[in-house]
Amino acid sequence: MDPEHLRDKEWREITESPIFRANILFGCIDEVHLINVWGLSFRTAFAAIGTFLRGRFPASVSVVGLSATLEPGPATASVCKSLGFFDGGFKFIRNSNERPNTQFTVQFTTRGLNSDTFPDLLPYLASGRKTIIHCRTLDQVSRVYAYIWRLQPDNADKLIRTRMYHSINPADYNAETIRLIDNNPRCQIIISTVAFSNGLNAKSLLDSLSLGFAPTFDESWQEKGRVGRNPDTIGRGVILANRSVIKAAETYLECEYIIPYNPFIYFLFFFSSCLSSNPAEYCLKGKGKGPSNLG
Amino acid sequence: MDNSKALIIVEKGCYISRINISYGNPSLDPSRPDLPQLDCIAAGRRLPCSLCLLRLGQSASTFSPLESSFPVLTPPKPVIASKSLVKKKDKLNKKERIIAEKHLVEFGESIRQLERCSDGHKYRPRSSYFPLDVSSAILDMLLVIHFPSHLDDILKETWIYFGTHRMSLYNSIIDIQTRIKAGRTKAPRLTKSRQRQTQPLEMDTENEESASETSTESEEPAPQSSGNKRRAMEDITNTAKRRRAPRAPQPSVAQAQQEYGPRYQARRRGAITQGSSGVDGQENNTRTMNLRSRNRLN
Repeated sequence: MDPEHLRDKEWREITESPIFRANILFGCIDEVHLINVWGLSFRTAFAAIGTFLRGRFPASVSVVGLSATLEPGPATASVCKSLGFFDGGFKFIRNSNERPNTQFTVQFTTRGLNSDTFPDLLPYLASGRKTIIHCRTLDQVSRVYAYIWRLQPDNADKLIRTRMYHSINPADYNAETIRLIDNNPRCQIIISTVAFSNGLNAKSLLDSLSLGFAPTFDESWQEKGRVGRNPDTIGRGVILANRSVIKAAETYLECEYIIPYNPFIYFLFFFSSCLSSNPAEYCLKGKGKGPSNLG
Repeated sequence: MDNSKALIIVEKGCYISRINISYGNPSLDPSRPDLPQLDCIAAGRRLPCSLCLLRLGQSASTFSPLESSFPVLTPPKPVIASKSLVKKKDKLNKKERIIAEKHLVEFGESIRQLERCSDGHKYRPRSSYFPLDVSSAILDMLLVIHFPSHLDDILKETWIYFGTHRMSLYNSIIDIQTRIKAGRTKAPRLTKSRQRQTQPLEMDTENEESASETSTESEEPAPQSSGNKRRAMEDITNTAKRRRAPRAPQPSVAQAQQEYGPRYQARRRGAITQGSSGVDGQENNTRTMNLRSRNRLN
Protein backbone atom coordinates (compact mmCIF):
# COMPACT_ATOMS: atom_id res chain seq x y z
CA MET A 1 0.00 0.00 0.00
CA ASP A 2 1.04 3.62 -0.53
CA PRO A 3 2.32 5.47 2.56
CA GLU A 4 -0.17 8.26 1.78
CA HIS A 5 -3.00 5.94 2.81
CA LEU A 6 -1.56 5.52 6.30
CA ARG A 7 -2.92 8.97 7.14
CA ASP A 8 -6.49 7.93 6.32
CA LYS A 9 -9.09 7.50 9.03
CA GLU A 10 -9.72 3.93 7.85
CA TRP A 11 -6.21 2.84 8.67
CA ARG A 12 -6.45 4.37 12.11
CA GLU A 13 -9.57 2.29 12.70
CA ILE A 14 -7.97 -0.86 11.27
CA THR A 15 -4.92 -0.58 13.51
CA GLU A 16 -7.17 -0.08 16.53
CA SER A 17 -9.16 -3.21 15.73
CA PRO A 18 -8.38 -6.01 18.27
CA ILE A 19 -8.70 -8.67 15.54
CA PHE A 20 -6.09 -6.91 13.37
CA ARG A 21 -3.75 -6.39 16.32
CA ALA A 22 -4.03 -10.05 17.38
CA ASN A 23 -3.28 -11.39 13.87
CA ILE A 24 -0.59 -9.09 12.59
CA LEU A 25 2.72 -10.92 12.07
CA PHE A 26 5.15 -8.20 11.00
CA GLY A 27 5.33 -4.89 9.17
CA CYS A 28 7.51 -4.62 6.10
CA ILE A 29 8.65 -1.50 4.26
CA ASP A 30 9.96 -2.12 0.76
CA GLU A 31 12.39 0.31 -0.88
CA VAL A 32 13.31 2.01 2.40
CA HIS A 33 15.90 4.18 0.65
CA LEU A 34 12.97 6.23 -0.65
CA ILE A 35 12.47 7.58 2.87
CA ASN A 36 15.62 9.61 2.28
CA VAL A 37 15.02 10.34 -1.40
CA TRP A 38 11.32 11.16 -1.46
CA GLY A 39 10.48 11.66 2.22
CA LEU A 40 11.99 15.13 2.40
CA SER A 41 9.87 16.89 -0.19
CA PHE A 42 8.37 14.81 -3.04
CA ARG A 43 6.24 12.40 -0.98
CA THR A 44 6.55 13.40 2.64
CA ALA A 45 4.32 10.49 3.69
CA PHE A 46 7.40 8.28 3.32
CA ALA A 47 9.00 10.08 6.26
CA ALA A 48 5.97 9.25 8.42
CA ILE A 49 6.05 5.46 7.87
CA GLY A 50 8.25 4.81 10.92
CA THR A 51 6.06 6.95 13.15
CA PHE A 52 2.96 5.07 11.99
CA LEU A 53 4.45 1.63 12.53
CA ARG A 54 5.95 2.43 15.91
CA GLY A 55 2.89 4.33 17.06
CA ARG A 56 0.01 2.20 15.77
CA PHE A 57 1.36 -1.37 15.76
CA PRO A 58 1.83 -3.45 18.92
CA ALA A 59 5.36 -3.11 20.32
CA SER A 60 5.96 -6.87 19.94
CA VAL A 61 5.51 -6.77 16.12
CA SER A 62 8.71 -6.92 14.10
CA VAL A 63 9.34 -4.27 11.51
CA VAL A 64 11.43 -5.11 8.42
CA GLY A 65 12.94 -2.64 5.99
CA LEU A 66 14.20 -3.71 2.55
CA SER A 67 16.26 -1.93 -0.08
CA ALA A 68 18.70 -2.80 -2.82
CA THR A 69 20.31 0.63 -2.86
CA LEU A 70 21.02 1.91 0.62
CA GLU A 71 24.53 3.24 1.01
CA PRO A 72 26.36 2.80 4.31
CA GLY A 73 26.95 5.89 6.41
CA PRO A 74 24.58 8.85 6.72
CA ALA A 75 21.96 7.37 4.34
CA THR A 76 21.59 4.18 6.41
CA ALA A 77 21.66 6.11 9.72
CA SER A 78 18.90 8.41 8.48
CA VAL A 79 16.62 5.52 7.47
CA CYS A 80 17.25 3.69 10.77
CA LYS A 81 16.41 6.83 12.72
CA SER A 82 13.23 7.38 10.71
CA LEU A 83 12.04 3.80 11.35
CA GLY A 84 13.04 3.84 15.02
CA PHE A 85 15.88 1.33 14.62
CA PHE A 86 18.33 2.23 17.34
CA ASP A 87 21.63 0.60 18.33
CA GLY A 88 21.15 -2.86 19.76
CA GLY A 89 17.46 -2.92 18.89
CA PHE A 90 17.73 -4.20 15.32
CA LYS A 91 19.67 -6.56 13.09
CA PHE A 92 21.34 -5.20 9.99
CA ILE A 93 21.97 -7.57 7.07
CA ARG A 94 23.86 -6.30 4.05
CA ASN A 95 24.29 -8.40 0.93
CA SER A 96 25.92 -7.40 -2.32
CA ASN A 97 23.74 -5.56 -4.84
CA GLU A 98 26.17 -6.35 -7.65
CA ARG A 99 24.40 -7.78 -10.70
CA PRO A 100 26.73 -10.34 -12.29
CA ASN A 101 24.36 -11.00 -15.22
CA THR A 102 24.11 -7.36 -16.28
CA GLN A 103 26.69 -5.44 -18.25
CA PHE A 104 26.96 -1.86 -17.01
CA THR A 105 27.86 0.89 -19.47
CA VAL A 106 28.10 4.65 -19.22
CA GLN A 107 28.08 6.21 -22.66
CA PHE A 108 28.96 9.88 -22.86
CA THR A 109 27.60 11.67 -25.88
CA THR A 110 28.03 15.12 -27.31
CA ARG A 111 24.37 15.26 -28.31
CA GLY A 112 21.92 16.89 -25.97
CA LEU A 113 19.07 14.89 -24.51
CA ASN A 114 16.60 17.75 -24.93
CA SER A 115 16.13 17.41 -28.67
CA ASP A 116 13.44 15.52 -30.57
CA THR A 117 15.81 12.87 -31.88
CA PHE A 118 17.64 10.19 -29.94
CA PRO A 119 19.83 8.34 -32.42
CA ASP A 120 22.04 6.95 -29.63
CA LEU A 121 19.19 4.61 -28.71
CA LEU A 122 19.01 2.99 -32.13
CA PRO A 123 21.97 0.55 -31.92
CA TYR A 124 20.51 -0.87 -28.71
CA LEU A 125 16.93 -1.04 -30.01
CA ALA A 126 18.12 -2.68 -33.22
CA SER A 127 19.17 -5.76 -31.24
CA GLY A 128 15.49 -6.67 -30.85
CA ARG A 129 15.83 -7.18 -27.09
CA LYS A 130 13.02 -6.11 -24.80
CA THR A 131 13.99 -2.70 -23.57
CA ILE A 132 13.03 -0.18 -20.95
CA ILE A 133 13.96 3.45 -21.64
CA HIS A 134 14.13 5.56 -18.49
CA CYS A 135 13.41 9.23 -19.01
CA ARG A 136 13.78 12.10 -16.59
CA THR A 137 10.56 13.95 -17.40
CA LEU A 138 7.13 13.30 -18.89
CA ASP A 139 8.05 15.62 -21.73
CA GLN A 140 11.09 13.50 -22.52
CA VAL A 141 8.91 10.38 -22.47
CA SER A 142 6.64 11.94 -25.11
CA ARG A 143 9.56 13.02 -27.28
CA VAL A 144 11.18 9.58 -27.22
CA TYR A 145 7.82 7.97 -27.98
CA ALA A 146 7.21 10.29 -30.93
CA TYR A 147 10.76 9.69 -32.22
CA ILE A 148 10.39 5.91 -32.14
CA TRP A 149 6.95 6.24 -33.70
CA ARG A 150 8.38 8.19 -36.62
CA LEU A 151 11.10 5.63 -37.20
CA GLN A 152 8.72 2.71 -37.60
CA PRO A 153 7.25 1.91 -40.98
CA ASP A 154 3.57 2.75 -41.42
CA ASN A 155 2.50 -0.85 -41.63
CA ALA A 156 4.26 -1.69 -38.33
CA ASP A 157 2.39 -2.48 -35.16
CA LYS A 158 3.33 0.80 -33.53
CA LEU A 159 0.78 0.82 -30.76
CA ILE A 160 1.89 -2.54 -29.41
CA ARG A 161 5.63 -2.33 -29.97
CA THR A 162 6.14 0.78 -27.87
CA ARG A 163 4.30 1.61 -24.66
CA MET A 164 4.55 4.44 -22.18
CA TYR A 165 4.61 3.91 -18.46
CA HIS A 166 4.16 6.80 -16.04
CA SER A 167 2.00 7.81 -13.12
CA ILE A 168 -0.42 9.89 -15.19
CA ASN A 169 -1.52 6.77 -17.07
CA PRO A 170 -4.48 4.90 -15.62
CA ALA A 171 -3.36 2.07 -13.34
CA ASP A 172 -4.94 -0.56 -15.62
CA TYR A 173 -3.04 0.80 -18.64
CA ASN A 174 0.26 0.50 -16.75
CA ALA A 175 -0.64 -3.01 -15.60
CA GLU A 176 -1.48 -3.91 -19.21
CA THR A 177 1.95 -2.61 -20.28
CA ILE A 178 3.73 -4.94 -17.88
CA ARG A 179 1.53 -7.81 -19.00
CA LEU A 180 2.26 -7.08 -22.66
CA ILE A 181 6.04 -6.80 -22.24
CA ASP A 182 6.13 -10.17 -20.51
CA ASN A 183 3.65 -12.04 -22.69
CA ASN A 184 3.38 -10.39 -26.09
CA PRO A 185 6.33 -10.96 -28.44
CA ARG A 186 5.31 -7.90 -30.47
CA CYS A 187 5.82 -5.56 -27.51
CA GLN A 188 9.48 -4.49 -27.34
CA ILE A 189 9.90 -1.08 -25.75
CA ILE A 190 8.63 0.62 -22.59
CA ILE A 191 9.35 4.31 -22.21
CA SER A 192 8.97 5.30 -18.60
CA THR A 193 9.54 7.90 -15.93
CA VAL A 194 10.74 7.20 -12.41
CA ALA A 195 7.44 5.33 -11.89
CA PHE A 196 9.12 2.22 -13.35
CA SER A 197 12.34 2.56 -11.37
CA ASN A 198 11.42 0.94 -8.09
CA GLY A 199 9.93 -2.38 -7.19
CA LEU A 200 8.60 -3.51 -10.59
CA ASN A 201 9.37 -6.93 -11.87
CA ALA A 202 9.11 -7.58 -15.61
CA LYS A 203 11.25 -10.64 -16.16
CA SER A 204 11.48 -10.41 -19.93
CA LEU A 205 13.22 -7.02 -19.94
CA LEU A 206 16.85 -7.32 -21.03
CA ASP A 207 18.07 -3.79 -21.77
CA SER A 208 17.76 -0.75 -19.53
CA LEU A 209 18.63 2.52 -21.27
CA SER A 210 18.67 5.66 -19.13
CA LEU A 211 18.62 9.07 -20.75
CA GLY A 212 20.89 10.97 -18.41
CA PHE A 213 21.79 10.24 -14.84
CA ALA A 214 19.01 10.21 -12.27
CA PRO A 215 19.27 12.80 -9.45
CA THR A 216 20.82 10.15 -7.19
CA PHE A 217 22.91 7.14 -8.10
CA ASP A 218 20.54 5.00 -6.00
CA GLU A 219 17.82 5.73 -8.53
CA SER A 220 20.14 5.02 -11.49
CA TRP A 221 21.15 1.70 -9.97
CA GLN A 222 17.49 0.87 -9.32
CA GLU A 223 16.82 1.53 -13.02
CA LYS A 224 19.55 -0.93 -13.98
CA GLY A 225 17.95 -3.40 -11.62
CA ARG A 226 14.82 -3.63 -13.81
CA VAL A 227 16.64 -5.88 -16.30
CA GLY A 228 18.10 -9.32 -16.03
CA ARG A 229 15.58 -10.31 -13.37
CA ASN A 230 15.89 -13.85 -14.60
CA PRO A 231 19.44 -14.95 -13.58
CA ASP A 232 19.71 -17.11 -16.69
CA THR A 233 19.48 -14.11 -19.00
CA ILE A 234 22.08 -11.48 -19.77
CA GLY A 235 21.04 -7.90 -19.21
CA ARG A 236 22.46 -4.61 -20.32
CA GLY A 237 22.34 -1.44 -18.23
CA VAL A 238 23.28 1.66 -20.16
CA ILE A 239 23.34 5.29 -19.02
CA LEU A 240 23.50 7.77 -21.89
CA ALA A 241 24.79 11.04 -20.52
CA ASN A 242 25.95 14.30 -21.94
CA ARG A 243 29.65 15.08 -21.57
CA SER A 244 28.87 18.24 -19.64
CA VAL A 245 28.06 16.15 -16.53
CA ILE A 246 31.75 15.23 -16.24
CA LYS A 247 32.69 18.86 -15.69
CA ALA A 248 29.83 19.32 -13.23
CA ALA A 249 30.91 16.24 -11.26
CA GLU A 250 34.55 17.35 -11.19
CA THR A 251 33.56 20.79 -9.94
CA TYR A 252 31.35 19.24 -7.27
CA LEU A 253 34.10 16.89 -6.07
CA GLU A 254 36.69 19.68 -5.99
CA CYS A 255 34.41 21.76 -3.75
CA GLU A 256 33.53 18.74 -1.63
CA TYR A 257 37.09 17.72 -0.83
CA ILE A 258 38.64 21.13 -0.20
CA ILE A 259 38.73 22.13 3.49
CA PRO A 260 35.96 24.64 4.16
CA TYR A 261 37.11 28.10 5.15
CA ASN A 262 37.70 28.49 8.86
CA PRO A 263 39.63 31.55 10.14
CA PHE A 264 41.13 29.57 13.02
CA ILE A 265 42.58 26.95 10.65
CA TYR A 266 44.12 29.67 8.53
CA PHE A 267 45.57 31.35 11.61
CA LEU A 268 47.22 28.06 12.63
CA PHE A 269 48.39 27.54 9.05
CA PHE A 270 49.99 31.00 8.96
CA PHE A 271 51.51 30.60 12.43
CA SER A 272 53.04 27.18 11.74
CA SER A 273 54.32 28.23 8.31
CA CYS A 274 56.21 31.06 10.03
CA LEU A 275 57.88 28.53 12.32
CA SER A 276 58.60 25.97 9.64
CA SER A 277 61.80 26.08 7.63
CA ASN A 278 59.94 24.78 4.59
CA PRO A 279 56.57 26.49 4.27
CA ALA A 280 55.75 24.60 1.07
CA GLU A 281 54.94 21.44 3.02
CA TYR A 282 51.82 23.16 4.43
CA CYS A 283 50.28 23.82 1.04
CA LEU A 284 46.75 22.53 0.74
CA LYS A 285 45.80 20.14 -1.98
CA GLY A 286 43.34 21.14 -4.63
CA LYS A 287 42.99 24.18 -6.74
CA GLY A 288 42.16 26.64 -3.98
CA LYS A 289 45.03 28.97 -3.14
CA GLY A 290 43.58 31.15 -0.44
CA PRO A 291 40.61 31.66 1.82
CA SER A 292 38.57 33.29 -0.92
CA ASN A 293 38.65 30.08 -2.96
CA LEU A 294 37.85 27.80 -0.10
CA GLY A 295 34.50 29.07 1.03
CA MET B 1 25.00 16.62 -6.84
CA ASP B 2 24.84 13.21 -5.25
CA ASN B 3 28.30 12.16 -4.05
CA SER B 4 28.15 8.59 -5.40
CA LYS B 5 26.86 9.84 -8.73
CA ALA B 6 29.75 12.30 -9.03
CA LEU B 7 32.26 9.56 -8.19
CA ILE B 8 30.78 7.25 -10.84
CA ILE B 9 30.85 9.97 -13.49
CA VAL B 10 34.52 10.77 -12.94
CA GLU B 11 35.52 7.11 -12.54
CA LYS B 12 38.39 6.11 -14.81
CA GLY B 13 39.12 2.56 -13.63
CA CYS B 14 36.10 0.32 -13.17
CA TYR B 15 32.46 1.22 -12.62
CA ILE B 16 31.55 -2.00 -10.84
CA SER B 17 34.33 -1.71 -8.27
CA ARG B 18 33.32 1.91 -7.64
CA ILE B 19 29.69 0.85 -7.10
CA ASN B 20 30.80 -1.95 -4.80
CA ILE B 21 32.82 0.52 -2.72
CA SER B 22 29.92 3.01 -2.60
CA TYR B 23 27.43 0.42 -1.33
CA GLY B 24 29.94 -1.41 0.85
CA ASN B 25 29.15 -4.65 -0.96
CA PRO B 26 30.60 -7.80 0.57
CA SER B 27 32.34 -10.29 -1.71
CA LEU B 28 30.22 -12.74 -3.69
CA ASP B 29 33.01 -15.29 -3.27
CA PRO B 30 33.89 -15.76 0.44
CA SER B 31 37.32 -17.14 -0.50
CA ARG B 32 38.25 -13.82 -2.14
CA PRO B 33 37.20 -11.01 0.21
CA ASP B 34 38.91 -8.33 -1.90
CA LEU B 35 36.83 -9.20 -4.97
CA PRO B 36 34.43 -6.20 -4.86
CA GLN B 37 37.27 -3.68 -5.00
CA LEU B 38 38.98 -5.32 -8.00
CA ASP B 39 38.23 -4.22 -11.53
CA CYS B 40 36.28 -6.49 -13.86
CA ILE B 41 39.40 -7.89 -15.54
CA ALA B 42 41.20 -8.72 -12.29
CA ALA B 43 38.03 -10.06 -10.69
CA GLY B 44 37.24 -12.11 -13.81
CA ARG B 45 33.66 -10.86 -14.10
CA ARG B 46 31.57 -12.50 -16.79
CA LEU B 47 30.32 -9.17 -18.15
CA PRO B 48 32.94 -6.45 -17.75
CA CYS B 49 31.81 -2.84 -17.46
CA SER B 50 32.34 -0.41 -20.32
CA LEU B 51 35.60 1.00 -18.87
CA CYS B 52 37.15 -2.46 -18.48
CA LEU B 53 35.93 -3.40 -21.96
CA LEU B 54 37.76 -0.36 -23.33
CA ARG B 55 40.96 -1.53 -21.68
CA LEU B 56 40.39 -4.93 -23.25
CA GLY B 57 40.01 -3.23 -26.61
CA GLN B 58 36.36 -4.18 -27.08
CA SER B 59 33.25 -2.08 -27.49
CA ALA B 60 30.24 -2.24 -25.20
CA SER B 61 27.84 -3.20 -28.01
CA THR B 62 29.15 -6.74 -28.42
CA PHE B 63 25.68 -8.26 -28.14
CA SER B 64 24.58 -10.03 -31.25
CA PRO B 65 21.07 -9.04 -32.30
CA LEU B 66 18.30 -11.44 -31.39
CA GLU B 67 16.27 -13.09 -34.07
CA SER B 68 13.14 -11.00 -33.76
CA SER B 69 10.24 -10.02 -35.93
CA PHE B 70 10.57 -6.32 -35.10
CA PRO B 71 11.08 -4.11 -38.14
CA VAL B 72 14.30 -2.14 -38.09
CA LEU B 73 13.99 1.41 -36.82
CA THR B 74 15.28 3.62 -39.60
CA PRO B 75 14.74 7.30 -40.23
CA PRO B 76 11.74 7.73 -42.55
CA LYS B 77 12.49 8.16 -46.22
CA PRO B 78 11.68 11.69 -47.30
CA VAL B 79 8.83 11.95 -49.77
CA ILE B 80 10.59 13.33 -52.82
CA ALA B 81 8.40 15.15 -55.26
CA SER B 82 9.83 15.58 -58.75
CA LYS B 83 10.57 19.26 -58.25
CA SER B 84 12.55 19.60 -61.45
CA LEU B 85 9.45 18.88 -63.55
CA VAL B 86 7.60 21.80 -62.02
CA LYS B 87 7.87 25.00 -64.01
CA LYS B 88 8.93 28.18 -62.29
CA LYS B 89 5.50 29.76 -62.61
CA ASP B 90 3.97 26.68 -60.92
CA LYS B 91 6.20 26.96 -57.88
CA LEU B 92 5.05 28.73 -54.76
CA ASN B 93 6.93 31.76 -53.57
CA LYS B 94 7.79 32.22 -49.90
CA LYS B 95 4.60 34.03 -48.90
CA GLU B 96 2.36 31.65 -50.83
CA ARG B 97 4.10 28.66 -49.30
CA ILE B 98 3.52 29.98 -45.79
CA ILE B 99 -0.17 30.53 -46.54
CA ALA B 100 -0.56 27.10 -48.13
CA GLU B 101 1.32 25.43 -45.27
CA LYS B 102 -1.02 27.03 -42.77
CA HIS B 103 -4.03 25.60 -44.63
CA LEU B 104 -2.46 22.15 -44.78
CA VAL B 105 -1.75 22.25 -41.03
CA GLU B 106 -5.43 23.02 -40.48
CA PHE B 107 -6.32 20.12 -42.74
CA GLY B 108 -4.01 17.81 -40.75
CA GLU B 109 -5.66 18.93 -37.53
CA SER B 110 -9.11 18.16 -38.97
CA ILE B 111 -7.88 14.66 -39.88
CA ARG B 112 -6.60 14.20 -36.33
CA GLN B 113 -9.94 15.28 -34.90
CA LEU B 114 -11.73 12.76 -37.13
CA GLU B 115 -9.38 9.85 -36.66
CA ARG B 116 -8.50 10.09 -32.98
CA CYS B 117 -12.02 8.95 -32.01
CA SER B 118 -11.66 5.73 -33.95
CA ASP B 119 -8.02 5.29 -32.96
CA GLY B 120 -8.52 3.75 -29.54
CA HIS B 121 -5.07 4.89 -28.47
CA LYS B 122 -4.62 8.26 -26.85
CA TYR B 123 -0.84 8.42 -27.13
CA ARG B 124 -0.61 8.63 -30.86
CA PRO B 125 1.68 11.54 -31.82
CA ARG B 126 -0.15 14.45 -33.43
CA SER B 127 2.35 14.65 -36.29
CA SER B 128 1.59 11.08 -37.34
CA TYR B 129 -1.87 11.98 -38.70
CA PHE B 130 -0.53 14.27 -41.39
CA PRO B 131 3.28 14.03 -41.37
CA LEU B 132 5.48 16.96 -42.24
CA ASP B 133 7.13 15.24 -45.21
CA VAL B 134 3.73 14.57 -46.78
CA SER B 135 2.80 18.21 -46.37
CA SER B 136 6.09 19.43 -47.87
CA ALA B 137 5.69 17.05 -50.84
CA ILE B 138 2.25 18.53 -51.51
CA LEU B 139 3.58 22.06 -51.20
CA ASP B 140 6.27 21.34 -53.79
CA MET B 141 3.70 20.19 -56.33
CA LEU B 142 0.70 22.19 -55.17
CA LEU B 143 0.00 24.15 -58.33
CA VAL B 144 0.34 21.18 -60.67
CA ILE B 145 -2.22 19.01 -58.91
CA HIS B 146 -5.31 19.20 -61.11
CA PHE B 147 -6.89 15.78 -60.66
CA PRO B 148 -7.15 13.36 -57.73
CA SER B 149 -5.01 10.94 -59.72
CA HIS B 150 -2.11 13.39 -59.45
CA LEU B 151 -2.13 12.81 -55.71
CA ASP B 152 -1.65 9.08 -56.29
CA ASP B 153 1.79 9.68 -57.74
CA ILE B 154 2.88 11.74 -54.74
CA LEU B 155 1.26 10.12 -51.72
CA LYS B 156 0.12 6.64 -52.58
CA GLU B 157 2.29 4.72 -50.13
CA THR B 158 3.44 7.46 -47.82
CA TRP B 159 0.27 8.62 -46.10
CA ILE B 160 -1.75 6.04 -44.21
CA TYR B 161 -5.04 7.91 -44.55
CA PHE B 162 -4.68 8.30 -48.29
CA GLY B 163 -7.41 5.79 -49.00
CA THR B 164 -9.98 7.34 -46.68
CA HIS B 165 -9.20 11.05 -46.95
CA ARG B 166 -7.93 11.33 -50.51
CA MET B 167 -10.87 13.36 -51.79
CA SER B 168 -10.98 15.74 -48.83
CA LEU B 169 -7.26 16.40 -49.27
CA TYR B 170 -7.80 17.00 -52.99
CA ASN B 171 -10.64 19.45 -52.24
CA SER B 172 -8.58 21.40 -49.76
CA ILE B 173 -5.67 21.53 -52.24
CA ILE B 174 -7.98 22.94 -54.93
CA ASP B 175 -9.24 25.46 -52.38
CA ILE B 176 -5.69 26.57 -51.60
CA GLN B 177 -4.89 26.73 -55.33
CA THR B 178 -7.82 29.06 -56.06
CA ARG B 179 -6.80 31.35 -53.22
CA ILE B 180 -3.22 31.51 -54.42
CA LYS B 181 -4.22 32.08 -58.05
CA ALA B 182 -6.65 34.79 -57.00
CA GLY B 183 -3.86 36.41 -55.05
CA ARG B 184 -1.58 36.28 -58.08
CA THR B 185 -4.10 37.91 -60.41
CA LYS B 186 -4.87 40.58 -57.83
CA ALA B 187 -1.24 41.46 -57.29
CA PRO B 188 -0.47 43.14 -60.69
CA ARG B 189 -3.75 45.08 -60.56
CA LEU B 190 -2.88 46.35 -57.15
CA THR B 191 0.55 47.51 -58.25
CA LYS B 192 -0.94 49.36 -61.23
CA SER B 193 -3.55 51.08 -59.12
CA ARG B 194 -0.84 51.98 -56.59
CA GLN B 195 1.22 53.51 -59.39
CA ARG B 196 -1.78 55.53 -60.49
CA GLN B 197 -2.37 56.70 -56.97
CA THR B 198 1.22 57.72 -56.49
CA GLN B 199 1.52 59.67 -59.80
CA PRO B 200 -1.03 62.42 -58.97
CA LEU B 201 0.43 62.59 -55.51
CA GLU B 202 3.85 63.30 -56.99
CA MET B 203 2.36 66.00 -59.16
CA ASP B 204 0.71 67.56 -56.15
CA THR B 205 3.89 67.55 -54.16
CA GLU B 206 5.75 69.25 -57.05
CA ASN B 207 3.14 71.99 -57.11
CA GLU B 208 3.32 72.38 -53.37
CA GLU B 209 7.08 72.61 -53.55
CA SER B 210 6.96 75.35 -56.18
CA ALA B 211 4.39 77.24 -54.16
CA SER B 212 6.47 77.03 -51.04
CA GLU B 213 9.54 78.21 -52.95
CA THR B 214 7.76 81.36 -54.05
CA SER B 215 6.45 82.02 -50.59
CA THR B 216 9.79 81.57 -48.85
CA GLU B 217 12.00 83.48 -51.22
CA SER B 218 13.14 85.86 -48.55
CA GLU B 219 14.00 83.05 -46.12
CA GLU B 220 17.49 81.66 -45.94
CA PRO B 221 17.91 78.44 -47.86
CA ALA B 222 18.39 75.27 -45.79
CA PRO B 223 22.02 74.18 -45.65
CA GLN B 224 22.63 71.54 -48.28
CA SER B 225 23.95 68.27 -46.98
CA SER B 226 27.35 67.55 -48.33
CA GLY B 227 28.32 64.06 -49.33
CA ASN B 228 30.84 63.74 -46.52
CA LYS B 229 28.98 63.20 -43.29
CA ARG B 230 30.91 62.98 -40.08
CA ARG B 231 29.83 60.94 -37.18
CA ALA B 232 29.57 62.52 -33.77
CA MET B 233 32.82 62.42 -31.77
CA GLU B 234 34.73 61.26 -34.82
CA ASP B 235 38.49 61.68 -34.71
CA ILE B 236 39.42 64.33 -37.23
CA THR B 237 43.04 64.46 -38.22
CA ASN B 238 44.84 65.97 -41.15
CA THR B 239 46.67 62.81 -42.01
CA ALA B 240 43.95 61.30 -44.13
CA LYS B 241 42.76 63.61 -46.87
CA ARG B 242 39.11 63.56 -47.57
CA ARG B 243 38.11 63.39 -51.15
CA ARG B 244 36.09 66.34 -52.27
CA ALA B 245 32.80 65.93 -53.93
CA PRO B 246 32.95 66.61 -57.70
CA ARG B 247 32.19 70.19 -58.54
CA ALA B 248 28.74 70.86 -59.92
CA PRO B 249 28.77 72.02 -63.60
CA GLN B 250 28.46 75.74 -64.28
CA PRO B 251 24.81 76.62 -64.88
CA SER B 252 23.95 78.06 -68.25
CA VAL B 253 22.53 81.55 -68.62
CA ALA B 254 19.08 80.18 -69.34
CA GLN B 255 19.17 78.03 -66.20
CA ALA B 256 20.32 80.94 -64.09
CA GLN B 257 17.65 83.12 -65.65
CA GLN B 258 15.05 80.54 -64.86
CA GLU B 259 16.26 80.16 -61.32
CA TYR B 260 17.05 83.72 -60.33
CA GLY B 261 15.14 85.75 -62.90
CA PRO B 262 11.70 87.34 -62.47
CA ARG B 263 8.86 84.95 -62.01
CA TYR B 264 6.26 87.25 -63.57
CA GLN B 265 5.81 87.99 -67.23
CA ALA B 266 6.76 91.52 -68.26
CA ARG B 267 3.88 93.29 -69.85
CA ARG B 268 4.17 94.67 -73.34
CA ARG B 269 4.93 98.33 -73.62
CA GLY B 270 1.82 99.08 -75.65
CA ALA B 271 -0.44 97.41 -73.18
CA ILE B 272 1.01 99.51 -70.37
CA THR B 273 0.71 102.82 -72.18
CA GLN B 274 -2.77 102.11 -73.48
CA GLY B 275 -4.23 101.32 -70.13
CA SER B 276 -2.30 103.95 -68.15
CA SER B 277 -3.12 107.58 -67.63
CA GLY B 278 -1.60 110.42 -65.68
CA VAL B 279 0.62 109.58 -62.70
CA ASP B 280 -0.10 105.80 -62.94
CA GLY B 281 1.20 105.73 -66.50
CA GLN B 282 4.43 107.43 -65.51
CA GLU B 283 4.95 105.02 -62.62
CA ASN B 284 4.43 102.01 -64.89
CA ASN B 285 6.95 103.34 -67.35
CA THR B 286 9.62 103.75 -64.71
CA ARG B 287 8.88 100.21 -63.38
CA THR B 288 9.34 98.64 -66.83
CA MET B 289 12.56 100.59 -67.33
CA ASN B 290 13.90 99.31 -64.04
CA LEU B 291 12.96 95.73 -64.89
CA ARG B 292 14.69 95.93 -68.27
CA SER B 293 17.85 97.22 -66.77
CA ARG B 294 17.74 94.46 -64.13
CA ASN B 295 17.26 91.85 -66.84
CA ARG B 296 20.25 93.19 -68.73
CA LEU B 297 22.37 93.01 -65.65
CA ASN B 298 21.32 89.42 -65.04
